[in-house]
This record gives sequence, C-alpha cells and structure tokens, in this order.
Amino acid sequence: MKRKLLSVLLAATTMAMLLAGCSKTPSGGGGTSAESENSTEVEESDDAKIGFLAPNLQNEFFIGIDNGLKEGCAEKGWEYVSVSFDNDSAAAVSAIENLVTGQCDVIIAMVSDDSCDSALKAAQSEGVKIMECGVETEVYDVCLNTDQRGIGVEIGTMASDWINTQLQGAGKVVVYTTYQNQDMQDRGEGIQEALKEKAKDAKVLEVVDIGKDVVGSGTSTTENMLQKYADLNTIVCYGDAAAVEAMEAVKAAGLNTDDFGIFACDGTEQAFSAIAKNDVMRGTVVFDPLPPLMIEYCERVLGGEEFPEVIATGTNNVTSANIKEFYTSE
Amino acid sequence: MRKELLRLVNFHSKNSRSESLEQLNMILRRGESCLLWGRDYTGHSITDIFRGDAEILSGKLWLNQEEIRKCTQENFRKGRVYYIDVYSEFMETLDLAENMFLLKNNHLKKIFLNQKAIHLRAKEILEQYGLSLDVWGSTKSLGVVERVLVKVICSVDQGAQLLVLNNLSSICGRQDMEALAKTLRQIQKEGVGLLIYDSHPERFVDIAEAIYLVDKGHIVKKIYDREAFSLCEKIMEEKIQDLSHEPPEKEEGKREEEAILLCGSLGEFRMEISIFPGEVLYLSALNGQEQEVLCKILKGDGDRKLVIRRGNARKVCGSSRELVRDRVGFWGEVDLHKELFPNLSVKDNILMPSVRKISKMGFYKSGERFIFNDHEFLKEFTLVDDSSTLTDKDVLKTIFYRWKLYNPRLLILNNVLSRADVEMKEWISSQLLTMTRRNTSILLLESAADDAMKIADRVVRIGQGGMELSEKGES
Amino acid sequence: MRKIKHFLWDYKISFFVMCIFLMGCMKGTYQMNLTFLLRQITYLTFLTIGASIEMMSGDFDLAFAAQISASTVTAAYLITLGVPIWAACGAIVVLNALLGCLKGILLTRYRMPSIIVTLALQVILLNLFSGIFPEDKINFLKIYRYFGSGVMEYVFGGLLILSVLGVFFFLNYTYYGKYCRMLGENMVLAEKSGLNIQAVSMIIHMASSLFFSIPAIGIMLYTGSGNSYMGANYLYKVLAAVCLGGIGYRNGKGKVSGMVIGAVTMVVLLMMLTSGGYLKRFEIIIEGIIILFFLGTGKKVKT
Repeated sequence: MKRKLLSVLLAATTMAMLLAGCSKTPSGGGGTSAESENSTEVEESDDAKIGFLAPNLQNEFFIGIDNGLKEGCAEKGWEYVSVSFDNDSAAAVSAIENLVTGQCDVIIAMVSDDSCDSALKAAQSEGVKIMECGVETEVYDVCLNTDQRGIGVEIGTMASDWINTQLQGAGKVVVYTTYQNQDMQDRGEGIQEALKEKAKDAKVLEVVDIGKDVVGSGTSTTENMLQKYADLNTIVCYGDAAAVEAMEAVKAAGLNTDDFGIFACDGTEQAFSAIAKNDVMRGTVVFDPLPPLMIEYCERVLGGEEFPEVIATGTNNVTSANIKEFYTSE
Repeated sequence: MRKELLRLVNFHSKNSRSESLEQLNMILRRGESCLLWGRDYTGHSITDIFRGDAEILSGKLWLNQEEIRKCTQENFRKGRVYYIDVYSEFMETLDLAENMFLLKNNHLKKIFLNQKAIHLRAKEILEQYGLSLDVWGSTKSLGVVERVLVKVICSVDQGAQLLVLNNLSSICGRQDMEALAKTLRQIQKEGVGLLIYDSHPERFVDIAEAIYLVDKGHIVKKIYDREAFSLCEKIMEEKIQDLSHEPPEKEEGKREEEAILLCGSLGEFRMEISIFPGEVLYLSALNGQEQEVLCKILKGDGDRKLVIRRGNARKVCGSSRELVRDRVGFWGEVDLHKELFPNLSVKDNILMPSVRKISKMGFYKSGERFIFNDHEFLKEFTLVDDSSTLTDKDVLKTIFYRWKLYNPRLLILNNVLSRADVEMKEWISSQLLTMTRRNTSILLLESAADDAMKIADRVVRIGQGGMELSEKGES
Repeated sequence: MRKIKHFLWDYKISFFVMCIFLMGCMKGTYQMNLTFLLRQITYLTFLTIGASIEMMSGDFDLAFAAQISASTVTAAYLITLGVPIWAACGAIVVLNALLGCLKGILLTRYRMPSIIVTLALQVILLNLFSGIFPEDKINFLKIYRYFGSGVMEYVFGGLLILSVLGVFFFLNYTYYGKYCRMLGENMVLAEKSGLNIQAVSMIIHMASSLFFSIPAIGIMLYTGSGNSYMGANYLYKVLAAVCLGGIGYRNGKGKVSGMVIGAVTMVVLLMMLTSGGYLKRFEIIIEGIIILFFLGTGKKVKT
C-alpha cells in the first residue's frame, strides 16, 4: 500500500516537473516574451505564425479568405494555420487557446460577437496579437470592419436603382436577412432603409429571417415566397450564398426574365458568373480583397504599430455595367 | 400440522411451447418436499409455472392464502418461491459476493456498499453449506454445478419458503450429485420446501417426502408412503425398453485407418481419443466441471484448437463452424432452445447445415420437397410451420432430424440424453443407433451415466493428466 | 511492475500521444499554458465522466451536447430577463436533470435503443430552443465574466478532483455504482433479480446529467452567452475520449482512471492537431476512427 502511494506520488511529481519544464518560454521561439519584443521585432515578422479562426470553412467566402491568407503567408515565409469553430463559442474558445499553444504570433479572429473576449484577452496576455475582422469587440490589437449598415444601404441602393430603371419603381420586394448576429441584423436594416428612401414606390412584401449560413434555406424560402407572392419580382439578400440559391429557385420556377432581380453581398464566384451572364442575379457588393489587407496589417502589428481605431474595409458595387473589372469568365 | 403454502385448484394452464396442464389439484405445505415423476413434458411444465412461463386458462393458484392471477417470477418471488434450473446467469462485472448480494431485491434507499461486510457474509453462507469458493473472485471461473449451488444458497438466504428445481441432475456427475443432495438435505432441515422435477427422478427419491406421478398434463397418482417410492417406475404404465445393441463388427486394420483421432487440451487436461466409424463412445467425467472442460475442448475452445486426424488427413477446428465444415456435429448447448433459429420455419431449421450439400448455389428449396416427402427420413414427426411454438419434445426432434439429414461423420452430444425426459431418452437413443448404421460415430458427454451406458459401445474415463481407456462396464 | 506494464499497455495510445506532446513541448513546437490546459481538461473530463457512466449502464448517449446547448440558451435567456446568476446556473442543473430523467424512462420503460432515442433527442433539443427563444444566440452583460484570471479555472479544477474521487467512490462503494454496471451488462437479469431498473436508470442518468451541467455552467460564464450550437463540437470528442478510456459498451466495465486518461489524451491530441493547422475534418476523422476501433475491439480491451 505504501509502495503504491509512493509510486503514485513519484509519477505525479515527475509529470509536474515535465509540465513545468515544458511551459517555459523556449528561447528563439515564437517570440512571445515581452522583454525581447522590441529588439527582435524585425526578425520576428520574418518568422511569424498566423492563425485564422473562421466561423466555418465550408462557405465560399471564408474559403476564399483562407486560401488568400495561405498564399499571402507563403509569400512572406510565414507559417499559417486555420481553424473553424462552426458557430460554437465553446469550440472557438478552445481553438483560440490551442492556437496560442501552437505559438501563433497573430490570431485573425472572425468571431461573431464578444463571447470569445475572455479567451482573446488571455491570448493577448500571452503576447499574441489579435486581429478582429467583421465585428468589433473590446479585445483586439487591430480591427478590420465594415459598416454593416452601410453595406446594407449599398445593397439596397443597387436594388432601388434597378427597380427604378427596369421596373419603373413598381418593385415587389422580399428581403432576406438574419437575426443570428447584430452585424447581419444591421445589414438587413440598412437594406430596408435604402429601399424605403430610394425606391419609394416599391413595396417590401416581407422581411424573412433565413438563418446564417444554413445550406438550402435560400432555396426553400424562395420557393415559399414565390408561392406566396405571385407578383414578386425582387429579392434582396444579406449574402451571396442565399442569393445564389434563390436564383436557382427562381430559374426552376421559370421566372428568370429581365424583370426579376436578385441583389446581395460577398462577391462570390457564382454571383459574379451569374451577373456576367446577365442572369437573374443583378448585383452584389464586394469587399476589397481581405487577405492582402489582413497580411499587411499583420505585418504592421507585428512591427509594433498600434491601431486603436477600427480600420474600415472598402466595398464596391458590382453590376453588369462593371462586372468585367472584377470577373472574367473563362 | 404444517401450514399450507401452495394450492392449485382445478388448475389449467398452457406454456409458451403449447404444453398444457389440465385439472391440476395440488397442495404443498411449508417445508414439504415433493418430487414430480414422469416420462413426458408434464413435470417440467409444472415447474415452468414458477418460471413465469404459464398462462392460466382456468382454475386457481393460491400462494400463502393469496390468489396469484398472473404467473410471473416476480409474483412468486414476493411469496418467497424461487425457481432454479441449470441456466444460472451471473454478472461478470461483479465478483461472487457482489453477485450474491446485489442480484436480489434490495431497497433503493441503501446507498453505501460495505464491501468487507458483504464478502464476509458471503463466505460465511458458502461455508455453512460446505462450499469453499473465492468470494472476491470472478464468476467466470465457476463451473455450471457451482453456479447452481450458489443460486440455491442465495435463494435460501433470501428467505425462500419453497425452491422449485428443474432438471438439475442433467449437469451433475456422481460427485456433483452427492454435493447437491447434501445441500438439499441441509436446506430441507432448515424448513425450506422443495418441488423437484428431474429426468432422473430416482436420484432424488431419498430427499422427497412425496412423489407425484405425472403424465400427459395430469397428476396421475400421489404417493406419500416411502415404501412405495421404489415401486414408482413399475406403477407407470409404459415400461422403459431394454435397449440391447450389438456393436458393429470390427474389421481390424481397415477400421484402424478409418478411426477418427481427436486431440485437444485445456489447462491440465489433455485429451487424445480415437473413435471408429459407427461406434458409440461414452466419455465418462467424474463431475460437471470436468465434463465442461471436455465439452470446451471438443468445441475447439481449449488452449489449442481441436485437432481431428483421419488417416493421413489432419484438420484443426477452433469453432462450431469449422467443426461442421469437417462434418463433425455438436449438439448440446446449455439452452437447447438456442440451437433453433426462431425466425426460420421448422423445415428450414432442419435443412440449415445441409443447404450447401443440397445446392451449392443456394437453391435448396427445390430439394426440400423430396426430403420431407420421404417418410423413412421423417418418421414420428409432424412438421409445424411456426418454430417458436414447438414443445421441448419437438425441439429435440427438430434438432435430431437436422443432424440426421446432415449425416455427419461424428456427432458429439453434450447432456442431451441426461436432459431429455424418459420418453425422449428412448426415442433419441434408438434414433442414434440408426445413425450409427450409416457409419456415423457418436460421442456422448452425459452426466447421467445410466442413459449413456445403455447404448455405448465403449466407455472412456478421465484419468490423472490424460485419458485412460476403459472397457464398457468398468466405469 | 507487472501492474505498471498492464496499465501502460491498456492505455498505450494515450501514453504514445502524451509522449509526442511532451517531446513537442521540449523541442519548442508547443508552448503549454497550464490555465488553458486545465480549463479544457476540466470541461472534457466532466463530460467524459458523464458519458462514461451512461455507457457503462449500457446507453450510448448522443444527446448530451444538445443538452448543454439547450441548457445554456435557457440560462442565458433567464439572465437577460434579470434572473440572478446562481438561479440561472441552478436552472441548467435542473433542466439537465429532467432531461436525464426522461432518457432514463425512455430507455428502460419503453426499451428503446439508446442510440435512436438520444439521436432523436439531440435533433429535438438543437432546434426546439432556437425556435422558442427570440434569438439563437443570447449574450448577457459583460460583468458576468469571471474567467480570465485563472481563479475560476482552478476552482473548476478542484471541483473536478472532488468529482473524480466521488465517482470512484460511487462506482466501487455504493449500490448504485454496482447497479449501473449491472444494467450495462445484463438489464434483463438485473430486472429478473428484482432491481427496479427504471428508477435506477433515472437516477444514473440524473447523476450523469450533473456532470454535463458543470461544464455547461462553466462555458456559459466563460463566454457570457448561450447558444443553440454551444457544446455541439464536444460530441465526438467526448465519445472518442470515452472509448480511449477503455469504457465498455454493454458490459458494464470501466474505471475512473480510464475516463480521466481518455479526456486528457483527447485534449492533448486536439491541441496538437489545431496547433499543427490540420483542418477540422481530420480531427473528426480521427475521432471517428477511435470510436470505431475501440468499440470494435471492445471485448479484447482489458479494463
């Protein structure tokens, strides 16, 4: 019995010593020690590790960012890892901790709210730089964000312009939005604001919550709306994923005429292709390419620059008039 | 005057195998021991009532002056009547003492388990009945007979007023039978009643205070006079046929070549025996545990797989499937009903192992008509459609015909004759002899030596560390 | 010596993973943070203990992650309505206990297969609360965040140690621990022996649900939110941890040490995979392989 206790104690002590040894900052590593920060900043940015935390890596938008970051980091000679948290805050928190363990110098967190703030703060205390993108919370070293309401207004404006020219203002509109996070809600409100102001004669038949990034919801919702509103001629979505699905549903219903229009945001490949073909999808709001911007600010933040203010990312409205600037079909 | 415990009044019931009991009138008093003596299904159908396998069609059953409307084990347990047969299950995750104390009605208010206390108590109880088992040990290592004894003791410890014992001698060799009898006598002295059915009722005559002769679902006669006990067999109308069997002529030299040599081992036991075509060989074990070991070896579950040599050919068999492929049949699982496929018809149950022989492509249905129209093949058996309602007798016949159709080179029987009732013993014995005429060798592993000796050509007895050959009559 | 050899052989995969991780730490590939490690190990171990107890009683539970989601959404909503935090945490415990009771009844009274029942419950819970509450995700005031300083991590760590000791005592020195094993091995025999299996199953599932409640409370307080997807990612991680820990399915076997070792191994493995940048798919593939492998070889694994 005594021997058993002794061996257990010995094993526990050995493990504790091993763990303590391993938790020391290794020399010449990722450079997270505050003392060496200033002197080794230039060298560190040459040898950095970037971690990307995405809500999911199945959506074309996020896959595009992931690929862009991968390429950008490869050019810089940086190490790059990406993780998705599938809208699960618990998974996001664990992923942030694991990225810190993996000695990431910068974590690009595309979180949807402030539920991960505690974990991000803990990561900051370990010397990791936090870049937030798409949402502004209290914990960041640099924040890239867009005014979601402004984006909504742009989408709404594009739709209003088309309604006024093509339909002489007689638009019957359904707005697809989501209440899953505040940003998307703001976007949806911006869309409605713009339609109200700029297409006064158009009628908003319904504002539908189709959920965020739920595959198939665009199709099913559109089918229902087409059934419900026989005179529907405009769909305005918060994102291209739902818009592309809506487009297919409209085509399947035989309503892909010149007098039907779908407008959204994101600038995915499918949306561009549809606009270029003069399909039912008439316009999308595209962000300035995010990956190069992210890489640039990673380098600057690793260099010691501080960005207390939110950095606004630019947008462009893409319609058939200027699609060739953004997309060339093969 | 002993108080009344159990009363059956014009009791009419039916069990799941459609075996019915009619006009049963029976009174059992506390502490009374009664032996059911019969040649057919009636005895074990009566014990089935207490197993929970009886539907009351008419009549009444009273237990401790309370009427029992539904025959379930739980209702009988409440009245402290416990049913015990050879299928004793234990939990492998618990040790022996925990099995003894946890596999019984416990109030859910008890939370903390005093391990030391229950193990001490278990040891005490076992020693009281002369069993020296390791209470901290796993129940996996217990033999079948030990399991039954432990179940009996546990039931008594739970305050049993009546124990219903169903065919326990079928797994007991001579030594085991003595231990069982000793335990039952001790229990009797403590005032626990016994209701015993056995396919060898003569082994329990000394324990019984009353013998009920049963036949065709009725109680034919009740005998309370001890002097009349010895006449019981004569009182039954049909006598057991005296089977005399001439062993086939041994052609020396030729038969040696054709002899099947079986080799295997398990622990300290080594087995190496030979059996000739058409021979009936009885492997006599001293007790149930040794018989279990032999059974495991013959099934290929020993330390090494069973090696079967025939002439120059050598096959190694580690499972029943491999045995069947080598034309060796094994008949005698612990629960005979498990050898039937309940979802298949009786015909398919008979045809199953022979399907490949009838048609390699699986179109065996075309051969079915010829097989079942052959009256010589299917004597004394009326085929029914539903295999789930077969009586015990029909189950035995179905399995027998399965092997008869398959025509194995060697058929191993494990406690089949010992478990069958007297009628079926005769029938199976005679049918086995017809199989030997087709050069099928029969290897008997039977706890009841008398049943096996009636048809055995040769008897082989286990010795120390190996097998000793012994001629018939000397075991 | 022999026992140590057996122990290492039984948990060889865990031992192998730990060795690789420690070597990585010494080489400088990983920078271990004890607070992070403690937090992750604590939550996963609580969940593993709960799922293990259920598996030992013969039930393969796919609904516990959905239980966490449902209870955090409910509690977060209550907090936004002004309910005190302690009451909201109590609501998590009560809701999980009720769901545990329901599972116990469905599995024993109606003899439904556990995989089907818990799969159905999972689907219902994931969507029910998102339909009832106004928002799928509820964030409450930032002042309720207690974590970050490491104090709560150590509090939960201490709670874990007590829980492990409690479970050890429960499994080996109480009737209910033995009943749990009996149900897992042979429910029919347990019922035949006079055990009230429905009551025992309800009690066991309620006890397991307590272990699901604790990480649910922790996650809710740490993130300051409730989410209908919260904890969904734990499902296969926990099942893999249970299998790695050598917990038997339908044979009532399992040890507390196995539960802890399984959980620690999964945390370390996931840490290495995430740090190494392997996409989530690889993580799920590995979890699936672990579950299949250990369930398939379950009879041969010594416990």
